[in-house]
Amino acid sequence: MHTLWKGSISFGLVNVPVKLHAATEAKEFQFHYLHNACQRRIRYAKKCPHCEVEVGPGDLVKGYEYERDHYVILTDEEMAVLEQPRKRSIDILDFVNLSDIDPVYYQKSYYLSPEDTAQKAYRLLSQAMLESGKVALARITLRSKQHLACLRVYEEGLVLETMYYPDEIRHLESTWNQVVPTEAELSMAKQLIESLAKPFEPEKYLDEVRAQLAEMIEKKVQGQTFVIESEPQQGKVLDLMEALRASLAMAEEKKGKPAGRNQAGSETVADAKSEVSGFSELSELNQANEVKGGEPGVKESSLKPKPRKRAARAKGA
Amino acid sequence: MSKPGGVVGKVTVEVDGRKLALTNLDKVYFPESGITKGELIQFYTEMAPYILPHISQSPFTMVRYPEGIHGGFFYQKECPAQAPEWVERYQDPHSREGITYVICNKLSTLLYLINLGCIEIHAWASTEDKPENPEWAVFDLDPDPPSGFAEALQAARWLGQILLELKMNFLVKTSGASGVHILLPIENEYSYTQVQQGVGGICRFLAKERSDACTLERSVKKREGKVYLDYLQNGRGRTMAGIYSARPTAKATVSTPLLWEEVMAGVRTEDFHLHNSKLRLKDVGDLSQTMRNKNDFSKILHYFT
Repeated sequence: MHTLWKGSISFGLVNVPVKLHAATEAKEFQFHYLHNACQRRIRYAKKCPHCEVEVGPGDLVKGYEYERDHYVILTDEEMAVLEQPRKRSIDILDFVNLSDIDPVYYQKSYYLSPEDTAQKAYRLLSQAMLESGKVALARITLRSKQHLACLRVYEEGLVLETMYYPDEIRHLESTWNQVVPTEAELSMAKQLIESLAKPFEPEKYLDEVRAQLAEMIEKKVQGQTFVIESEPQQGKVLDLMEALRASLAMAEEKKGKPAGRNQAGSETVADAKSEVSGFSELSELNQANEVKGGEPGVKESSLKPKPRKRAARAKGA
Repeated sequence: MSKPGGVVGKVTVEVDGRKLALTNLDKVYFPESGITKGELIQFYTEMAPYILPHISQSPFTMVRYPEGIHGGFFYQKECPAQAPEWVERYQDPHSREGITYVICNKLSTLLYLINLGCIEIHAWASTEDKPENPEWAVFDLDPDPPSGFAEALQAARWLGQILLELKMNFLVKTSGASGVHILLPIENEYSYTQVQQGVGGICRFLAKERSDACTLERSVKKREGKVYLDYLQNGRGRTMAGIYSARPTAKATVSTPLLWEEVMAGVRTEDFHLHNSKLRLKDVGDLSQTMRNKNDFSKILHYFT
């Protein structure tokens, strides 16, 4: 794993040299803008609209807009005064219960791995934290910004979660706390929750859109087009019917036409062609009568078409 | 959900001239839809005239959900010993245990069964006087995720085309879960084994021609997201959710017969549920009556076995 930062956990007299690695990665496809005419990558240019010139890094200073259109310029030298000395430590401030920290505080997770010389100290710290059930609140300076962080045991090692400062968390302004659900509604909702409650199994959840996007990209790379949902394929249906007719004909060749039937297989084929896109119940009933043609009256009650809306409509069509 | 004017937990009603005690009517059976046992009973009371003709001579298998759809269920074939004497029974001579089934042939019996916690209608394809010979064949189209109802309906279109070519009369219905059932009414002159072979032959043909979309694979793991063409449902004593059966789903879906135009145009399973079944009957009529028009199954046996 790529090391992002090296330093040490400092905790009383204990110093544990560690390396920091990103624990998560957002799996998103990166797209680039191309110029449609030539399909080449475009370049973003910084331009001063006042002087109408393109500007480079050396031409820029940082300005803070303290009121509209008024800027105070802060030079790099001035900013450097405020900059934290490059501290290479994770300073543990307090130990707290993990459940006391609301997840809204968490920003990003990093794995901490021990330097080769510090494996024992690392194990000692993580095991002690595990057994005491506490997590550590700490400070770490990453890329010249000081972060609040939480250090906790995860799987076999330690994880550092960078956190928002309390003044970075916005307040929820609720207007709905006046509305009170009834006992019955609450108990029904709770019943529903209970019935859907399951252990958390993260492997169940997949980014389906990303998977489809991956497939789309792969197919396009191979020069194919991507179809997201197969609609009824008329062409294929016809193929199917041809295969069916061939199969029926083959059966007839082998076994002859079905016994006791007053209709020939070839007729079946010809008649049904007009039926492919829909059928009326009336014609179904007639067919049923046809099939039964040899035994009139035997099951008449069951064959007699009942006048129904659908039959009437189909006939009219 | 409670009804205005107070909740009725237990009532004794008179149905078909018989006294029947209905209990726990206010128990919520479908929490997501807020439907109570009482409302389920009301649904079946209204739908009984359209349901009973299909099951009135067939042994009934109870699938009981005494605590509603999320509360667990159990199968029960044996008629409860304490069932009222007017519940008709059928002793199956071929079952090893000598099972005595309920024959659900009237509203009072149907409501008795729903009151026991049955949500679905599960009856044999054959009748008590000819138990070895089914009255209908079934194609049970069961999509393997990520395939869903849309894919099952596509398979139903293909099977429908095949059956039309054979000049067969059939009924396509939503299973009410994610699948589709095609019922083929036949003269009860063929054994379950023969019917299974005939339906299997057609399914085998389709699975071969549309191997990208359909499978006959019995092992769920090997279905590769295709639609499973289950012809093995054609077996003695095997039951599945019947015509206009409610299903134990969040949306209280109902296994609903479809117009062929709807099959071709596409519908959604959840379009058909406990609350709109009656309205749909008014709208399109009772499509299940087509089950009265029996096909000659020998033709399928001739071509496909």
